[in-house]
Amino acid sequence: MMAFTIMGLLPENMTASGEVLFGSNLLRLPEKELCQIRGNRMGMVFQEPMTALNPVLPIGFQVAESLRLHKSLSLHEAQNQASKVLDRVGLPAKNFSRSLYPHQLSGGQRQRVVIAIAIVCEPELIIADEPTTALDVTIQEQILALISELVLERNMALILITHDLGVVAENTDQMLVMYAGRIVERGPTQKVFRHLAHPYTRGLFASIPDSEKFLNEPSQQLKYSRKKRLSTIPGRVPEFWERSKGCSFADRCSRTQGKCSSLVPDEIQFYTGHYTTCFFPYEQNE
Amino acid sequence: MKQEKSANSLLKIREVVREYILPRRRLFTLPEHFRALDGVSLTVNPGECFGIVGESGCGKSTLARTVMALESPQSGEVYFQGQILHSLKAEDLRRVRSGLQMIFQDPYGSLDPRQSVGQIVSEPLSLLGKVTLKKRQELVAEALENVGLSPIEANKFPHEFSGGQRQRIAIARALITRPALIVADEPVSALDVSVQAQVLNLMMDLRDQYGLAYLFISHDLSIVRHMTTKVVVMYAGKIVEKGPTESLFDHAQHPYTRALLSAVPRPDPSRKHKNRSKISRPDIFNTTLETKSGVGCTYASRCPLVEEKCRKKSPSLQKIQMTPPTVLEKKALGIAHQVACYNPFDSVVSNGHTA
Repeated sequence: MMAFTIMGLLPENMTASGEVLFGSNLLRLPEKELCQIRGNRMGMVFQEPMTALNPVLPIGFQVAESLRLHKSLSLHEAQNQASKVLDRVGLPAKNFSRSLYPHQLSGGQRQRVVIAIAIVCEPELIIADEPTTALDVTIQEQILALISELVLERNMALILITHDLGVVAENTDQMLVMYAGRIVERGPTQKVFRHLAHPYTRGLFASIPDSEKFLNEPSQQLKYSRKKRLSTIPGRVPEFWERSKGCSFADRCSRTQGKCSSLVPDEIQFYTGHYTTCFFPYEQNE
Repeated sequence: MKQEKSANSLLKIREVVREYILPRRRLFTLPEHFRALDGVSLTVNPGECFGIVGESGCGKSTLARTVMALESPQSGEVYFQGQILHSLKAEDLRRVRSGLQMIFQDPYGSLDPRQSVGQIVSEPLSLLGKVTLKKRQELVAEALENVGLSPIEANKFPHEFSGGQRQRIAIARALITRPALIVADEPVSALDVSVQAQVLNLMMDLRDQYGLAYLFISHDLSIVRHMTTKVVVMYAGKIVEKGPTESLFDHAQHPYTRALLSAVPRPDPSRKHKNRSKISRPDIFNTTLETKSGVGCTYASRCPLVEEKCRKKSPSLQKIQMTPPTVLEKKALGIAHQVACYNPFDSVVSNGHTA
């Protein structure tokens, strides 16, 4: 949802307040000017490459489309440039004709096309919303490596949205953890992983299999016939109409005390840059 | 008789081959065949959780469908509780199927939105012949309680539940006939991490409670490692490595298994700058699965250790001997760590003549 707000893609019945600063405040910009930024200075990589692409247009045309819109290139010029970008993302012209349709490509190849569309105008920012959730681990690795390379090579910023903590760890410098519409923890990735302060962040980490290694808990000897239970966070994320006045995690939290359900905690800083929104955060060695 | 041979195992799959005929390329050419399963064998014992891992298109789901007798193999047999599934008459098959249930990946697609939860959960009971209404309600209530839902929820409809709860309903539906084996095809991949853990715990509790066996299919290696005791790795319709879970994950031998394991992102930020130069070069030109079977190892085109003989003759599954022998080998798990590769990673393939 945050990604949609930044890109100005919210549905009509929703409003956003505050500011999204990208040169100017995007929330205030008229649609026409926003259109000049979207896809041009900001690219987006979606979760489902099949639904993100138009099934009835060839891939070369789809990549060239934003060049024609934003850079006002001719069809021929745009398609030449699009072809170069497709080469760069690993779809060379000799193996992948530019007149192929999305259904003729595999999931990983389609995602490469989506990435090509996102970077073709050389944006300053790329928003990747669960870019590899629909892909196999081996393809996931290739796609993430490609995104990281492009980000370095073209000096772009990347917002990577994912529920996979491994993906966050391996691909980001800064991270923030969100719960029910609020940021509960943020900071440099290294620092946050070394010290998980918010109970929700802890719960998330504890529910991945094999997490003891990363939480520095003494790992239990696993017996062969019966394995250890995974730890879980009780309950579920509240629907928006169920959210209470106080901290939205209060109902599911093991450290809840009186004020949690009535007051929203402020952000507190641990180290430079590492913040958490909790009255009773975990200490480092807890 | 063959039936006696497999009497003690719950499910025995022997040399199963399943081919699909591809649409012909031109009008007068012969259609090509695609081997989705190529000589797959495995045995699942009662109360055991058996994992199957591999990329999409490797035949995992075809295997699941074959076990459920939704597909019939061209050759090879599937024994379930001593009976050959695919030679049964429709009526007998229906009866046998009550011991065999399936949980699907997508809890939004697998539940009929127009049926109440009670109707959905009680549907498999029709397999068991006539069940009185009262008995049916009791069984539904019990199944719902087993999966941590209240019996009152039987009157609600699927859209009133979250993803995790829906998957619980799907599990309740699978449980109601008291099956001996549940085939779980990616049961948690559509769920969030914290909900995923709840569902996995539930599946393990039910196994302990009812002695269920699972055939657990997933592409998420950490979950397979957590849930299963034995595991097979499939590539292009073949089993490339097979063994006790711990041994296979800690001492992976096949280059494909090693590639899979190293591709899993770990929650460890120090790996951010790991050397990726090798992987990022796309090998996607070679990933088209071989359609003709029988010539060489199917992984040869992607394998970093490929040799001449790999392209000529496909390696068969061989028992491997750890050097030095690990503790795992001494444990009687009833399965040996086997690999189908001429160049396994760090051990000697015994050619049958060593003990």
